[in-house]
Amino acid sequence: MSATVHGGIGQSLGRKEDARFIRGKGNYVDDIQLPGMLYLDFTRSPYAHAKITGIHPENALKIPGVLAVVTGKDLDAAKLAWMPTLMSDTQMVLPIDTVKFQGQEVVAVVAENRYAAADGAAAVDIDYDPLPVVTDPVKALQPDSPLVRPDKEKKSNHIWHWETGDKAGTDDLLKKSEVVVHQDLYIPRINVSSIETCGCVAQFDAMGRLTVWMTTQAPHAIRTVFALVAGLPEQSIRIISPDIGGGFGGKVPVYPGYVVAVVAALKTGHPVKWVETRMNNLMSSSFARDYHISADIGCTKDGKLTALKVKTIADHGYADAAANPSKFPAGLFHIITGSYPFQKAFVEVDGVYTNKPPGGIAYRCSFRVTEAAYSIERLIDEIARKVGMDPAEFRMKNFIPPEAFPFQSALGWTYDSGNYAGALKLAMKMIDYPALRREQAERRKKGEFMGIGISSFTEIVGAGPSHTFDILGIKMFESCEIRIHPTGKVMARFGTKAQGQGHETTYSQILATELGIPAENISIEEGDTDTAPYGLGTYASRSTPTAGAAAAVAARKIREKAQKIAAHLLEVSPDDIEWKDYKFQVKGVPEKSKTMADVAFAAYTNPAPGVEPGLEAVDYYDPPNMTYPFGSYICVVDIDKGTGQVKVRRFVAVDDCGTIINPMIVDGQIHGGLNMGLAPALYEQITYDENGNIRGNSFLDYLVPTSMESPHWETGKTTTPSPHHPIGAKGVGESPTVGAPAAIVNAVIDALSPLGVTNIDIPIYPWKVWQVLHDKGVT
Amino acid sequence: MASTAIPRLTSPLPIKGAARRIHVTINEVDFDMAVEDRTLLVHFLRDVLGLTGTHIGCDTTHCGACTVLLDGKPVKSCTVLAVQVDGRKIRTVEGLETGGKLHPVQDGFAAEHGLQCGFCTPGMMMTAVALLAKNPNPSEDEIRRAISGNLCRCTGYMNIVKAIQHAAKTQGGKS
Amino acid sequence: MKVEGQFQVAAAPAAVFGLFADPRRLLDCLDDPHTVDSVQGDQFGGTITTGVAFIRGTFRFTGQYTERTPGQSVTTKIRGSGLGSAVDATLHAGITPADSGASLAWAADIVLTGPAATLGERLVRTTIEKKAAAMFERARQQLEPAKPG
Repeated sequence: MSATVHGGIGQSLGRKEDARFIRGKGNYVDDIQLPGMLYLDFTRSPYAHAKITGIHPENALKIPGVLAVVTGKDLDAAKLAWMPTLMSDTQMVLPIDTVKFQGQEVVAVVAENRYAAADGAAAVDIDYDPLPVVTDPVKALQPDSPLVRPDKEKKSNHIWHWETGDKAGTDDLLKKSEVVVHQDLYIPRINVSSIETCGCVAQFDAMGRLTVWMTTQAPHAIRTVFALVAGLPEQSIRIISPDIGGGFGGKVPVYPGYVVAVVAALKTGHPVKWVETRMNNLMSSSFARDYHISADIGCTKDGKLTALKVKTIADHGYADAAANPSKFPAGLFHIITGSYPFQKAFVEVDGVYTNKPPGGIAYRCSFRVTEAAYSIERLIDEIARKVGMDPAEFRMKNFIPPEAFPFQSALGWTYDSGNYAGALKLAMKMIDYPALRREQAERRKKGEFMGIGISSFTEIVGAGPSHTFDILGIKMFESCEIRIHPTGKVMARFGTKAQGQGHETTYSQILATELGIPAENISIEEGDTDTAPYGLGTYASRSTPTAGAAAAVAARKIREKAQKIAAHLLEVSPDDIEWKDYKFQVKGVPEKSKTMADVAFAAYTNPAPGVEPGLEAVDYYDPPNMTYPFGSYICVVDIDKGTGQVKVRRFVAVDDCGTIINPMIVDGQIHGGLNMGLAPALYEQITYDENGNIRGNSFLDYLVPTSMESPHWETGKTTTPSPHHPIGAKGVGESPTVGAPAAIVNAVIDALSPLGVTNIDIPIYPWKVWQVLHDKGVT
Repeated sequence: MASTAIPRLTSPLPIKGAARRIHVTINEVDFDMAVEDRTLLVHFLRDVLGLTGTHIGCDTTHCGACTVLLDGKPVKSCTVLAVQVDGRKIRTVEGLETGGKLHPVQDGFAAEHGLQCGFCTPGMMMTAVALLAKNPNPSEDEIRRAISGNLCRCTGYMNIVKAIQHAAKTQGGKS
Repeated sequence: MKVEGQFQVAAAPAAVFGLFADPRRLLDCLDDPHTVDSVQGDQFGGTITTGVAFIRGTFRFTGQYTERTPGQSVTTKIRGSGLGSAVDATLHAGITPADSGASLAWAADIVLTGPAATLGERLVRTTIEKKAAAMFERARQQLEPAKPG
């Protein structure tokens, strides 16, 4: 029997975090109470576009408990009225003369308690002159459109154009392709709606040092942005990201509330708390998606894919606040060639301003990977149908084969590893695909609408290699610092910050395996910029590919030093020592060995001559490549002919995320991600009316799936390790959100395909299906 | 910045004119306190008593993060006024562990990975406690129906269902 | 959003006009608590405490008669703000003599923005129709002589 270490890689270790959460002892931002703390609230714009002609705070200041108001003009005096977005655009902290979207923060009110702050915010009178509103990006590109950002030199709502691939070659090959399908797809604007909204507590100490407890997924990046924007010395800023009640990308940007809380804390000399209400969050936190896609896909008449061409209009609201790597204004949308070896491909995206809140951030998937995976997997189904092939058979015929890895995609990505057919075969076996097709044929004879949908997605996570990836110039490395104490207990700190992913558990598992120390003797700390090494944070499924790798590499640095100490203790040369069965052994003499705990004690009490005391290491890991998780999902739906309601009967998800650190946590990540794939497919969307009124600013109208909508997920795994990651792991959190929507929509379209239906834009509400059934004379 | 002089600060929710005394039992402890009429129960629990395990996730009674038991029944404490609980009994997540022993529902959530970020968890567990008190052996469908007023963004609900089944089993079908 | 309606009242057109041309008398027909703080020439201002769905609070408003044709018609522009929301409305009432009194055709063109518009989107129209119906019923009570018994 081979040796094991308790809590090592591959074990379903119970989560360390849970001990506090199940007792209600988590420490979230709104739980923080400081002596003398004040509360901040905002008066917001009811208009989507208007000139501010007067601000009258007098009535607010009369309210007992209201202490101060802050306006854009106050901030302008300190050059803080504007701030940069992570995409090098600019956005307002508070407006000076014009509001750009409904719900925009206009005046901040500081009060003794949250009720007085809310009363004060309601009592501030603001005079507006409404301006024409544009909420449709296609209209925004027309010459007569209202101009959203006259402050920009360009005097146009067009922000940027980005393209990649071989345009002429793609056009040419599409022309020559025997079968071509054109499809328009809209991927609506949605909001991550983590159950905890955004907030912070800002405090200056007597030395002028600023501490901000903040709902942020990227505390170090925030510290640097604060230093650059506010001109504070960076060593005088401490960002603490306490427990976070869900992030999903919504807690990456810098929001006006954070900045104003800091200003208010400085001006009042008191700690200041700002916590959004849900309505505030839905109206003004950054949004995801809003991609208007127009695509052409080609293949031969026997179903071999040839070329792919995609044109997209991206609605960014009034500011491009995406958290993409700087070089990629459309994120990693060019992963859109998916699991297939296209000969030629071309992608272009145009970013557009509209009178909506800043858009372009994540929804459990950063960098536009969902938009890409949804598009290609929808297109594959449509072209398979046109060729007359079963969608599974079509995919099997076209997949990049396992032996082709590392594989260079038509748009320039180098996929590390994959076995796409393996994942699809397992999913088909788990769900008994042939039996489902037989059942479907029977039901069709009876006039029933049952659909089977497949999605065989390829993901790209783990940003990223320094030659390609940076945010505002900062390279997207990740870090780990390990300290082994004399008693053999470990404290490790990371630049990432979990929001439910369970890093305290999974990082200790990596370290347990690498150091031979049981996981319960390892403590993990993240989120405090005073103590953690610099990192870019947790989003885009990057923590395991980058910080997980840093953990393994830092641990191996420790082993290297420890080997010298072990050799000293065992009185042999370091070359005669090997790391085996989680111990240092004299080669060939297993009974002569020292544990890491033995070595740790010696490192402080009896270090080898010429070896520095102590046992610590730090690693800043610059990944050589991205990791490319993948999976195949199969969804079965039944459609109610009378109401148009789509019922997900079964959903099988086979994922391959390389080496699995904790199977229980991976399954949990997949369940949650699937639910956030189901949501935009069938339920969630935020729209605006012609006046710029947001429709969907509460959970009454924004339909986050409940336990009743969410099906009983079935999961399976294949394991194809990443060849370049120290432990072979890839990311997993966002995979299911990326892969699930196409499977669900493909199932719905499959059900309706006998009626000639080729697309229904998501979310597929019952009324949309009912309308189709009605138009086709079924209902 | 327009401002008034900054006075000495009072409690997080100062008692102003329209206040009244309430007597309430929270997690078996009696409180006799003055509260402002409009103070929400959730703010009374969190800001006045420091029981921050009960969370706030929305303003419209949809998310259920603030669920507590009022005389044994789950209620959303963001939509109950503190003055309404006068003379009644409240149980919050902090009251689940008794004598150093976790409640079976707490054990179930940890054992089955029924939580991730932990924010919806207290409210979700309180709803589960109330369900099991009424129905010691609920089916999956009954569990899903019972927790449908509690939103979770992380787990996809699967493991929450398993956690409640786990608790039902360890309770041995007794409430 | 356009809302309109018609009602008959057993009162002379001049009396109906008299009520609709006087902001204090007209607003007194509202069930919602309100104040009229100023009336100067064609302009008036005040507050209404009202709500739609769970958005409740006080609107501050200013109004201006853009047209008052004795015995025939009244047109008013109203702008208000409150509850984090704003309302811009044009109200028109046309009065014609009818069999046993007057017939009043009213129309409101309302632009509502902010949470009151969005949160209560599906409820706004019915709320306004309900409030208008109640207001006209009160107006009728004021205009028609109390029936004996």
